[in-house]
Amino acid sequence: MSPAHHNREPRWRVLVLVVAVLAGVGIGFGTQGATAPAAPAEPAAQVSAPDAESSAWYCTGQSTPGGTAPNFVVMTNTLGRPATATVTTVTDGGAVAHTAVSVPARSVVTPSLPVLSPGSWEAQTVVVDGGGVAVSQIVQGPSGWDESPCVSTTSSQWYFPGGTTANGAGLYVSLLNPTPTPVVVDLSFITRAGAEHPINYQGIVVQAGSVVVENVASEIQNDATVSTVATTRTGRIVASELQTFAAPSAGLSLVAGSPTLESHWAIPQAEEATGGSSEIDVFNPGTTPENVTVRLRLPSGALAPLTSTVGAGSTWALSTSAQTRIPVGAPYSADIEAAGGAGVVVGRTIVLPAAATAPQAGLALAVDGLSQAPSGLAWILPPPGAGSSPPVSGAAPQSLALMNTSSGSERYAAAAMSSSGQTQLAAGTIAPGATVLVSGSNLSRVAADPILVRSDGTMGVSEDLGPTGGLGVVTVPGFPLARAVNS
Amino acid sequence: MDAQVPAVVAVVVTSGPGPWLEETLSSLAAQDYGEMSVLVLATDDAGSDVSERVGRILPDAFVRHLPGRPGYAAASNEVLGMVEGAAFYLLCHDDVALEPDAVHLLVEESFRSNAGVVSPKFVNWDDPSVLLHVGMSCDKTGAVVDRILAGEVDHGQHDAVRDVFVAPGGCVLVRSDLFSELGGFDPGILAMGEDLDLSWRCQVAGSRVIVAPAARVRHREAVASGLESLSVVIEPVGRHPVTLQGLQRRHELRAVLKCYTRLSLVRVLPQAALLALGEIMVALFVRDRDRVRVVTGAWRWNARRLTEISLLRGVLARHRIFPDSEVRRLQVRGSARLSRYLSRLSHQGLDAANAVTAGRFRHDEDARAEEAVLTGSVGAAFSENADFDDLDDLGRRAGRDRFGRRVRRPPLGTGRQRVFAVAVTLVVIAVGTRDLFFGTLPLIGQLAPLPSWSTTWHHLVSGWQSAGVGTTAPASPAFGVAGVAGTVLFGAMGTLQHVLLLGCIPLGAWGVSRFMRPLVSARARVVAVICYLGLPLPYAALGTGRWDGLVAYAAFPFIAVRLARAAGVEPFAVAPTGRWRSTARGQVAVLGLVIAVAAGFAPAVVVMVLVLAATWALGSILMGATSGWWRVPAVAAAAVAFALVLTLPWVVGTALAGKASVGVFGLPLSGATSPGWGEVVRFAVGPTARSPLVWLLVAAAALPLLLGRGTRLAWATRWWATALASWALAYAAYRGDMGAFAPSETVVLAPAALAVAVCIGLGISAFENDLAGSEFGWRQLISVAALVLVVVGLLPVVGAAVDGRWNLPAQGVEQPLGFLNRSATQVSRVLWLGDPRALPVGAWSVEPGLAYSLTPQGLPDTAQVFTPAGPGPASLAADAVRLAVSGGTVHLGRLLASEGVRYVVVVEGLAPSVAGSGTPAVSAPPPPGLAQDLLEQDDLQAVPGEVGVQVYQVGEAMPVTAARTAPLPVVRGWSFPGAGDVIGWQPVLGNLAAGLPGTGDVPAPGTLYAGYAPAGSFTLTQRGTRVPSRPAFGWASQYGVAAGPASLSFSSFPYVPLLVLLEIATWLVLLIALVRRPRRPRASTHLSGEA
Repeated sequence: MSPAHHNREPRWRVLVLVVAVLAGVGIGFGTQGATAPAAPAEPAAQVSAPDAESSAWYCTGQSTPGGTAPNFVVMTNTLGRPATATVTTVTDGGAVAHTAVSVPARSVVTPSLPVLSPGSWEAQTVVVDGGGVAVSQIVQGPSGWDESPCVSTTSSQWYFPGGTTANGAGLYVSLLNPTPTPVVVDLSFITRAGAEHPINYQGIVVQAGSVVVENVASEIQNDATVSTVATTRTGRIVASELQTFAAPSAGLSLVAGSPTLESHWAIPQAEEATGGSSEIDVFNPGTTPENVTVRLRLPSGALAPLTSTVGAGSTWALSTSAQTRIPVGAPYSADIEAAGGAGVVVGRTIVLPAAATAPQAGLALAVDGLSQAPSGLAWILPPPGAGSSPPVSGAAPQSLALMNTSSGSERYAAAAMSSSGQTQLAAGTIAPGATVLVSGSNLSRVAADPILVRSDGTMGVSEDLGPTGGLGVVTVPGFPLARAVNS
Repeated sequence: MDAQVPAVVAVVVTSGPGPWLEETLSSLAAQDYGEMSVLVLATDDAGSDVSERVGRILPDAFVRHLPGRPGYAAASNEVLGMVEGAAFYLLCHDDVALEPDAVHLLVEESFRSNAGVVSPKFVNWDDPSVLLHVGMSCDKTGAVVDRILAGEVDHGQHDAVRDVFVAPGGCVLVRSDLFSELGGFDPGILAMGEDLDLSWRCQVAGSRVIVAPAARVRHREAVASGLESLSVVIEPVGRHPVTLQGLQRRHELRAVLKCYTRLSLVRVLPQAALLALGEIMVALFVRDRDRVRVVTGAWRWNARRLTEISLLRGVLARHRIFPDSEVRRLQVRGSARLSRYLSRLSHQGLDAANAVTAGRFRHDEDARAEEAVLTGSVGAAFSENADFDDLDDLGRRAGRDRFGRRVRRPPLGTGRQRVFAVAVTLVVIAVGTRDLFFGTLPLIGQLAPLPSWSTTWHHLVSGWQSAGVGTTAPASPAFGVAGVAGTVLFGAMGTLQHVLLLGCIPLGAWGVSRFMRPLVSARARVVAVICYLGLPLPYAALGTGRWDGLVAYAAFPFIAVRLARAAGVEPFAVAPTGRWRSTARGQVAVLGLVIAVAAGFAPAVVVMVLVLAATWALGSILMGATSGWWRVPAVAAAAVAFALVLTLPWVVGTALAGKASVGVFGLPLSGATSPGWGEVVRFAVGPTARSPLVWLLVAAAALPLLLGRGTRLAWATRWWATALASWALAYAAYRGDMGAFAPSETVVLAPAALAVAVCIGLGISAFENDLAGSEFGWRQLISVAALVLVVVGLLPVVGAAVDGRWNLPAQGVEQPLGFLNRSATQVSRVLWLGDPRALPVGAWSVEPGLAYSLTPQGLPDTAQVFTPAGPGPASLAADAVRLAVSGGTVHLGRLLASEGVRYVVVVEGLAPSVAGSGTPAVSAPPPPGLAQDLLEQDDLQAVPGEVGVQVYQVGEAMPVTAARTAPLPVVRGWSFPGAGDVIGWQPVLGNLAAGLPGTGDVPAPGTLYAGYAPAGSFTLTQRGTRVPSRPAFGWASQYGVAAGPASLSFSSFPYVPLLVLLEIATWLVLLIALVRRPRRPRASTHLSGEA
């Protein structure tokens, strides 16, 4: 040290402090700034919190009465107080009608809606004065019937992994614009030949509060697997897909699209039938390839997984009926995981032999990851109609599947909910990846009551309804609750 | 003395000689030069006893009486006809006293240097140690300047023989043949300036003019000092008699017109005219009418004598040997008068500069200017008294020693270099700001235009503001500052906005200089100033439209100065001057005043003042202080308390907002797009100068910690503690880690910027002072490295200046939202949503990263930027938005209807970005999912096509004032409207601007709704009768009305205006107390009266 600096200046403690703070904060919190996060996603069909001021459900894809798939709206009130709602029905001919509906506490209502004309297709917007109400719809036509959730959100894009225009099948994409703003929509299709953007399906103008339905088969003909993307240029819409299967294995499916791409999907229950065919459609609409793993699990244990790299803008049609590792007649579940990109959309198509009970064919989305993990960790499964005379004769729950998609064992409880209270159907613990099926006499007690499922962790919940030719033809996923009801 | 020496005739012209004549004659008699005779030329004013007085001392002298008052020049010329055989004439005034060897030395030097004219060194008559002249010079316009400073003591520093341009009158040795050839003095010059003219002509004729300082002459300067009146008949004495200055100026111009060639005149004369014009303008500005008369008179006088001058030019042309280029070599460059003015302006301030006289005469004003204290001026910020020793004739640094050798100085070692460096820096700033000087600023951040002059005052004193849905909270003191400034500028509010905004940057630099003055050398001070200007923070604040950040940048240096002075931290202690402001209380009051002004625009300044004080105390403790460290926090707390008192109405209004009051400091961010730690530390928080090179400045700021000792180390420690706290707070604020308390980030960073600049200056000072006894080693090396770091670290800002607007976008939201200014058919409001940094209005917080504001329909102005802390019932809008964001409603439009919201505007970023222009450097997006949530609403219609904003029109908007037949339910608590509550309303009370209540017709009997808060402060009258009101939605009013005219007005006891007026009075009293001079002791007056 130089003579001039022979002193006891406490400079080092200051230097240490400066270096410690500068480096400490940098190391502790990182030197890089944060980037804008993506918008938080919500399930497409989520029951609003009980204290919501209002909530809306959008049901589209059905035909007007006398058409291919006339519908019934099923409103399930999960709360201990009555709910009021307004159902606005619009047709593609421009007719509009408003219907006031009241849903008693913990009850299900299938409101009688006016028959509108002109128009061949119609859609409903259900605005509930509050939350806690789930809305689904049942379509029934010459080809069969189906129950599908209405959706509680609008989106600027909708994805449909499956669909077919082969063998006389009909495929219709319904576009409902419930917002006050006109929307311009483009439809794209992924076929075996690759991506197609039919000129007639570009720039479809959907006026505020109107519905437009496009027949996919008029542009994409005789293609066994057709994945669809509906994208808006501005604004947000609701889109669904109506699939008709022609005889001999007939069926009618109404599929609400998925507004998001996700990396985890679940098929809680499935079964291969002799003479039938089924496939899992993994659609990658993104711009990067996805490494997809399908993990199959029998009640006896897990099977060797199936893997594939699904290229950008392509669909992996995994024929599960061709997999020898899956025994015929044994229920199994499937967990689909995608990695490497923005995510995928997964659906399942099943065609049973003509000898089976009608309908024999069906198409449904798998249970998406968001619906597996609602903030309330509770799901509601609406019945196929209200009262003792459901819209579809004899329609009733056949099998309730609860698939544990978390990494640990989870407790669960399923109860039938009625105006008089809840009746427990099943309760217990599910091992990771395992599935619990509730069927038979346990379900027969439910009759036309909704089923409330609670869990301690993420769960894939779905219910198969009958009468159909088999599992997977008419499948309804559990409606996740934004917040669990108290009783 | 050898008889071979050349003969000299001393010519003494006397007119009204004073008692000093004898001393003059005695000095001539005492000369050791043998061949000298004396000729005394006495004018009529000299009196009849001149011969007698001369005879007593110089019996051999020849005395000649001249008729009339010919003037010095004409009188001297008499020698040409009276004397033959003399080699030299020694032309003398009658008030000079020569040293005995003066003539001898002058003649000797004339031969040695082959000079035609030789001037002695003139010293003060009474104090010979003080120099008067050692030769003189002039500039191209003939303005004569001395080579010495007034009052300069003779240490022999000017004792070298050298060429000069002017041999001052009083005593000059002229070769007789030269004098004769040139025809002597110009007889047209009655007084003043004949020396310039003769010297100039001599040089044109090829003769040298030199000064021989060894010959010393005392000079009384009887005429110039007023001891003796001018004894010439100039012209009829009018209302404004001709002054010496007037004579000097006219004769200077005469010399110019005579002595230049025509070609040179073409070049010089316009310049002289231009300078004269500028001088006239300055003189008019400062009301110096005498100066105006002098300048204009000089040009008029010469214009009337152009013919005479032309003849004289012809005479001189016959003798011309040297071209003008040769003669010009001895003239000073530039304009001597302008240089002198600017030098005074720079060193002593405006008053002293304006006291510069027209000529070389020293009047009282001039003397006062010379003695002016170096304080309060721009130049004073960069000057030291000691620097004057280095000044040349014009107050500029010659850069040479007395022997003419170039002196090598360290960088920024001279005042000229420092001024040049600061000037270059300011030029860079000006270049970087060039596009912002004029025109309208974009509607970005807080850059909304100022309202009109009257509206600004109205906001300040009004008892009600339209913020939110209305409030009686007092307005921000910023309106007071803007109102006063707008009044001073005669309502030029656009100009005011530019001045206030852009002026913050140089103001901050000036503040740094003031802070550094007691601490460091002028060089270190200049470096600190340049570094403060070279940090990206102010340009980040400007580029993001943060007015508060700029104000904090400007204010903190002054706050630091005041805090240090008030707390008496070494070396800032203030000696009592007798004025109140120099007392401890006065110091605190001044600090409080500065804080109050700054806090009006940037309330977070209050927080940071306390942080500053706390960190200074921490720094003192780190340096081992065991006592006194608490003084700074105590003084800061007292000053803040005083500032709060000065802004009491606003403070009370803010405090009444409860928990929301912390929002006045800033709104919490989400951290979604927060800058990293490194970006915060290097101030890369704006769109410009984001280069990592700025790290080098931060690194250089560590120098005083390594080298400093004593005071420098103590201050470096304090400032580093401040910087660390400032950075940490800002980082936490950007990340949204501080909950609802989130002081504005650019304000929080201002002390850190100041700390970096100050520490760099301290580092330079440590290098200058603390290494004096050190052996060469790493300290010297890192010092040099630090200098390099500083230079390189400044480059990002220099590079950013190319843009011309510091990357401030050319357009804000005024373009896409222009439709809001269209005339509306109803009174309605706009709900603004977005990141707190992006909203062009003052706002409240919905959640971290999402702010909201309710403004009257139309583009906002500054009145909407400085909003009260509490939203009042406008918080219902926040509740509604929270519901929508959480998926709890699809009827946001209806929920907002009662507040008159017609449009919901979501601001997507700081400014609309042009497609393809890339990602903006500063991103301030609204929370992800907000757009989705709003599009989910079934009563919000998206307005397509707007860039940078999302606009939604509310489907069933209620006018703010509306009527319908059905009444509203009476609700006591704040509530949202139901579906039936928003239907059927018709706008009433006209198309009102700015959302203010007013008068109109009610079309039918029914219910009139008024969406103004507080409801109880409004009165509806119909046919002169007050209509009783009932609550609506818990906060608004409804009235049962009949058809016909109705008037809604604010009617409340004006306690807010009264408080504000009291506040204004308090400010005035304080300002008077601060500027008031101490009263003289009454006792002395009393005693003198008794005497």
